[in-house]
Amino acid sequence: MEDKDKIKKELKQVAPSLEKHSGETPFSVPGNYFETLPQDIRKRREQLQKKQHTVFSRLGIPQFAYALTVAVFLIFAGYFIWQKETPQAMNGYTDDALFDEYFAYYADYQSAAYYDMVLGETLEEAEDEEFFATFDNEDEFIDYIATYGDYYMQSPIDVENSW
Amino acid sequence: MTNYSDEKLLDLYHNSGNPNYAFDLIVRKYQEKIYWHLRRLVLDHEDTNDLIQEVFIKAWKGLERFRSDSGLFTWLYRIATNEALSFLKRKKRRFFLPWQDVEESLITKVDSNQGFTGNEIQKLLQKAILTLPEKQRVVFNMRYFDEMKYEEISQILETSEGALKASYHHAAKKIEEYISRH
Repeated sequence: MEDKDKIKKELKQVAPSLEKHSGETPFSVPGNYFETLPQDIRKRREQLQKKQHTVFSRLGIPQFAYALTVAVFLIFAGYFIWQKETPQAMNGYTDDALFDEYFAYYADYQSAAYYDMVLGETLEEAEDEEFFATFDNEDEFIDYIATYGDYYMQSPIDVENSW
Repeated sequence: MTNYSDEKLLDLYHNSGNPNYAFDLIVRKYQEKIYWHLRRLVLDHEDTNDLIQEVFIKAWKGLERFRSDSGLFTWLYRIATNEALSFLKRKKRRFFLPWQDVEESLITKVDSNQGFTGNEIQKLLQKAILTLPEKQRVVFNMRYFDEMKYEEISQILETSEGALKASYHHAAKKIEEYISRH
């Protein structure tokens, strides 16, 4: 603590009216407050200790440390195994998802091409009229491409171009 | 019982085999100083009571790791100051009030005489102190009421002595102006 006179002297220079004040704190405290405060703090401390004790005594600190180590190891091991076994993602798609997507697209396209071929305009617009004339009806044509056609092996674009 | 030196108290805490007893002695030694330091910042007794318990619980949690480089007294004051300033900030945030309004609510407390025992001049002084920015208020209180050396305040607030002197002088002038105006 500083010498009171020094503080007063300092105040006299800066704020003379303050020098006259007592410097006491003008607030009251409930009776016996400072007698009971240490007990209140002790109670809170004991509650906290009890809480910690309950948590650690259930697990036991050494067991808790072992359990934590094993858990961390399992998490890391699991993560690396999962990383190895999961197909690599590409642009948000896994290999499987890409394959499914392409297969669905390709199958749809193929069906549409066949549909056109069999039922519609494509057949009428085809240039090779002689070739189509060899078939009596659409069923015969479907049988033909089912037997000889290799459209399944072609890309949708190739099928489209072949017409 | 509370006249043990800080070194003795820390020695008791670490080596007596009864740290709880040693901690009780620390509480008894510093409770009043810490209480008044907090009370002058937050004014309300109930708030101060909550804060002082929090301060000592934090001290108890940290005492195991405490190294006596800064001194027990400095360390406790630092925890208390931080707690009080955080409390005032939380209060402001909770009620979405601008800082000025929190100060005004504190002034209202002084006016309503809740736990206030001083005369009109002391009331005016308290109101003047409440117009200061928070850091200036802390510095002013420590110097004016606690009669601390700049060196001690510097260690607690981790601010240079020069800056503290400037802050204190500035605060004192502002208070003087406020009092002469009212």
